[in-house]
Amino acid sequence: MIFLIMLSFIISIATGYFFTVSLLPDRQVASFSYALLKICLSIGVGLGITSCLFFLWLITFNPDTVALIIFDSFLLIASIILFKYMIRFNTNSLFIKTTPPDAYLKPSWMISVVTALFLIFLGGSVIIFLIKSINTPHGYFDAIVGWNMRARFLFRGGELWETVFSIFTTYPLLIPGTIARIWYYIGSDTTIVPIIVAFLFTFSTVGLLYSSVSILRGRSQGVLAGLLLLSTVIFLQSGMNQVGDVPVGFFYLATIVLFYLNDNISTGKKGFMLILAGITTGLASWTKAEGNLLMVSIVVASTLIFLPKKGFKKYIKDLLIWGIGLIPILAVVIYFKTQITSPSYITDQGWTGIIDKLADPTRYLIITQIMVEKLVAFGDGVLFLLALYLILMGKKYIIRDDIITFSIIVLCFMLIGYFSIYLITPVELSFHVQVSFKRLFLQLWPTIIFVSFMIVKPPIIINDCSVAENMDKLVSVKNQC
Amino acid sequence: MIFPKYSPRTIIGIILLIIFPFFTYSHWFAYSRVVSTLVTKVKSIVTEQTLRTNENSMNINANIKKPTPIGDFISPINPIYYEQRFKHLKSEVPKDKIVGYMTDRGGVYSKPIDWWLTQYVLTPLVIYRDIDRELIIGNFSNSEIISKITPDTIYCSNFYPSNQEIMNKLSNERGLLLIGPKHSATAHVTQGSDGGIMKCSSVNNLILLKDFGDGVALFKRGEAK
Repeated sequence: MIFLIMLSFIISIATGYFFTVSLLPDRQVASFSYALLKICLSIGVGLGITSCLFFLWLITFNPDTVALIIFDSFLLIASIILFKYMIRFNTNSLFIKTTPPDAYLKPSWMISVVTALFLIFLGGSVIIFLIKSINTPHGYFDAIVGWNMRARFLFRGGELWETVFSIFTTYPLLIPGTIARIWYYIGSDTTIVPIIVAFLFTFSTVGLLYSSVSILRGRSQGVLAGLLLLSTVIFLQSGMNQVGDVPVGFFYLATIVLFYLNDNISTGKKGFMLILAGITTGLASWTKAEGNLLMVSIVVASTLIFLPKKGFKKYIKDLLIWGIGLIPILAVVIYFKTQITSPSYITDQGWTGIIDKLADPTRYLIITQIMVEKLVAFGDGVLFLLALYLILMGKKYIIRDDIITFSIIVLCFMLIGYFSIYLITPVELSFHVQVSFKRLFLQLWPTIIFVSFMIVKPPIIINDCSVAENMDKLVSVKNQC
Repeated sequence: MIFPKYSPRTIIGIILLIIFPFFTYSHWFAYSRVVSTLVTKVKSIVTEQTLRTNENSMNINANIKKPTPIGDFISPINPIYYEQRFKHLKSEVPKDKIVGYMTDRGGVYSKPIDWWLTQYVLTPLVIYRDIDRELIIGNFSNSEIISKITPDTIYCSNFYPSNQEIMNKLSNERGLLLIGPKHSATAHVTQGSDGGIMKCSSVNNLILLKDFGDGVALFKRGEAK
């Protein structure tokens, strides 16, 4: 059974790897961070697209498991062919404009301490994760109801798999699909599979955050960003609990990271990474309904930032390239939402109910009050720490880059989107905000850390001006030299 | 100088980031059941070893408490507990059926955890929280309740979270309360003085098909008298 579990995961991740590597540029210098970034992205992309394919199999050939293996093999071969083709075609290379090479950061005891601490907490987190998973293999109650029960319906239901939607809301199938797909491979609904899926998404998020910040701002910053994420206990708890907030947070982070990397391509044709960003945006929608907000936020933010700067033609071209990755997955999501599930409970109330709620000023007040309360208490006050760190480390925030402004606007629109959903929710308002906002914010948290570390000054050595010289955008550092 | 290369602001910033995880993890460990269970286990192992050492040295037959393995504590809302209870019922009900549900656990009013867990372990069987089905699954606190079930002891209710208090009051007064229709299904329930809890008109002829023990039973609904 272990062999079959590994095989099914390897097929998914290998497919994701070939797709990811085909669309990512080469980095001129061999880098551990870049290799880690590729692996982390491959895990998310691989599990995501194979779950989409699993859904297509469910609606066509279920319960013929041979057809499932043929589907998966076909996708793997297609990804290998794409990889072979793109080796010649994708001549892009990544040159990070704003990062001091790691060599410039002279070894210091402080960086060593932080790195050691990061590794200790990482190891500790893995151990705690495993202990908790052995203790509660079915996951937290929300994971049981929201994901693992659906996975059981998809697996145990056979041809009757659609009955799951007679008692469930409209959440999409990335997580249950991933779990059920592997159960079909091994022929048993063991709880090891959801544990591994949760483990992969949790630690891929940490890996992706560390590697992306390391690539864009230096290893020391990557370690600090990773440490900050691991310090947020609710993140680890949610991962262990197997809830969907960590996977959707992974796809938010991956999308924003890919937009940043795309901004740093120095040679060749830009755009392949936008295809990958489109895929991860689509996979966020395929994970949870909130993922749709990311798509809308990206369109709005790019219109506000890139349309005036790039001009209409270039803007539309970039949007279309992003759409190449997004549309196939979005088509699956739309088919699922329109043909398989019933309408959302939010739209069920009709326009009159929605307008009445929008016109009620007390709802705005209640939502604001609870959201602020939750933000203050989030992660034992980690937001204050981050704010303090930003104040201490940099006098001048570097928000001159369009990409940074873009990502901040995306995050703001996501929060506005959450607020808007609360405004029209038919569920008892205080209860709904109380129980869900902390977790909605958690979905954004890895991306917030990433963007913050793009803004903040790295802890570089002041008297080493050679570092500052290489950081053309860090004006405040240059001024000190 | 202790920190020759960094500005004081940088040092403070990094030290804050270093200290913070210790603060959050210690806070977590203070309330985490996983961690406290682990600590208890480690302590009991240490205690056991100490006692054994003492026993060997003093040659005394000490009454040693066995260490509690992690996960020994099974909460009533633990799916493992539900898997055990419902494992025999699984094979008795065809999986393409929609079945009804009865409970004395009262969970359907505010947090239907008992129903969700029953649904989870019996998947792909679809369980509706009502008693208008041919087959009805009973999930009770204990098996004694099953013998007490009569049409007079079965009540239905709409899904009112505020009814929990009334529910408890009625339960205390009458000894047994079972649950009626699922959320928003109000077909045979009318608002009464009990705040929406009424005798179910459709359960006059409830036949016990099998008692699986530990409060798990399968009923069949016959024709109404």
